[in-house]
Amino acid sequence: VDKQLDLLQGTLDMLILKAVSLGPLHGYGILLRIQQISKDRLEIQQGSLYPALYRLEHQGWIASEWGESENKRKAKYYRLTAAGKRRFQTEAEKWNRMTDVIAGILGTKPEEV
Amino acid sequence: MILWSRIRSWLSATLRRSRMESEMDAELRFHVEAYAEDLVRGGITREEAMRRARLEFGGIERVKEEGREARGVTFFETLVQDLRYGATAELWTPLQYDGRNIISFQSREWGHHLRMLGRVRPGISKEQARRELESIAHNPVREFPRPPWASLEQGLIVNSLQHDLTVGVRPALLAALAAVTLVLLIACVNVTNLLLARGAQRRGEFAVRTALGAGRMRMMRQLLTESLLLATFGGALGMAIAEFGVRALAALSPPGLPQAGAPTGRHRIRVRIFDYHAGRADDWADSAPARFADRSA
Repeated sequence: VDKQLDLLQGTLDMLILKAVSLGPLHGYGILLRIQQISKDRLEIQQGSLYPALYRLEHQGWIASEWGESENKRKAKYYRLTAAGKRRFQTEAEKWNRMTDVIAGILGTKPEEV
Repeated sequence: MILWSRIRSWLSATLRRSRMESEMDAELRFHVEAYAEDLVRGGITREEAMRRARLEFGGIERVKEEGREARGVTFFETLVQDLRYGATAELWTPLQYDGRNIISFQSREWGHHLRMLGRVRPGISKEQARRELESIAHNPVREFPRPPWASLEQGLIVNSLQHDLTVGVRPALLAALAAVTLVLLIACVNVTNLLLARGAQRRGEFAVRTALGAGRMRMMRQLLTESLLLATFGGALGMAIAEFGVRALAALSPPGLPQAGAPTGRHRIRVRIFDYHAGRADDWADSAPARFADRSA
C-alpha cells in the first residue's frame, strides 16, 4: 500500500468544489468522495474540512441546506453555486498550468538548457 | 428610529449566531457519528468506534474556532464561548503547534489568531502594564528570532477585559437603560398625580380633623405614615417582581450577552439598589399630599 500523501496547502478548497460539483453532499460525504476518487492516496484531516466549508460558503461558492441523510438523520448538504462553478473552473485552469510548468521544470534534461 | 433599528439588528445578529453555533454543533456531531457507524460496520464496538472517530476528527473546539473565524464571527463572541468552554473543561493541555509549519507566514504557528488574557497585579495601572509589555515585545527571546514584519514595533495592545467584553453590546444596553429610566419616571409622575388627586378629594376629611383640634404635626404624621406604608408595600412588591424578572430575563437573554448566565449575587445587588431608588421616588411622591394638605389646612 502506498503511503498517504499530505494535502498541499490551498488545494483542499479546490477538491471540495470538485466533490460537490458532482452532486450535493454532506461534510462526511465530501470526505468519503474525495477519498474514494483519490483511491485513499490522500490524507485529509477530518476536522480541517469544516473551516474550509464555512469559508467557501461565506464566500458564496457553495450553499448549504439541511436534509435527510442515507441513515435517516438530519444532515447539512452542500451544493455548488453558479459563482462556485466559475471559481472552480479558473482554479482548475490555474492548477493545471502550474503543474505543467513545474513538471516541465522538473523533467528538464541537461541538453535542453 | 435609528436606535431601535440598531437594537433590532443587534438582537437579530445575536440570534443568528446562536443558531449558527447550534447548527455547527449538529453538523460536527453528525460527522463523528456517521464515521463511527462506518467503523462499527468494520467490526469494532460502538464505544471504541466513537472514541476513534473523535480522535481522528481532531480537536473539535479548534475546528469550531476556525469555523467561526471563517464565517467572520467577532472576537467578543469567541471569547464568551471560550470562557464557557473553559468553565466546563476537565483537562487542560499546553497549546502545541507544529514548528515545521512556521515557514508559511499564513500558518497558525505565528499565533495571529491568539489573544492573551492576563491578570494585572493589584495597584498596577493599565499604562504601566502596557509599557512593560512593550519592552517585552521589543526584546524578543534570542532563541526565537522574528522577521521584521512580526517585530511588534507598536508594542502590544492592552485593553481591559470588561471593555473588550462589553464594547459590542454597550450602546444597546445603555439605550435599554435609558428607556427603562424614562418608564420609571413616567410611573413616578403617574403615582404623584394619583396621590394629588386623592389629597384633593380628602380635603373635607382634613377640614373636619382640623376643626376637631388636630394639630399640624398630627396631620403630617398621619399622611407620612400612609405614604410610608404605601412605599413599603410598593417596594416589597417591586422587589419580588424584580427577583423573578431578572431570572426570567437572564433565561431569555441571547447566548452572546455577557453575564447572561444564572442570576448571580451581582444581579441581586443591582435589584436591591434599584428598588431602593424606586422606594425613594415613591416616598417623595407620597409626601406631596401632606404638603398639599398642609397648605389647604
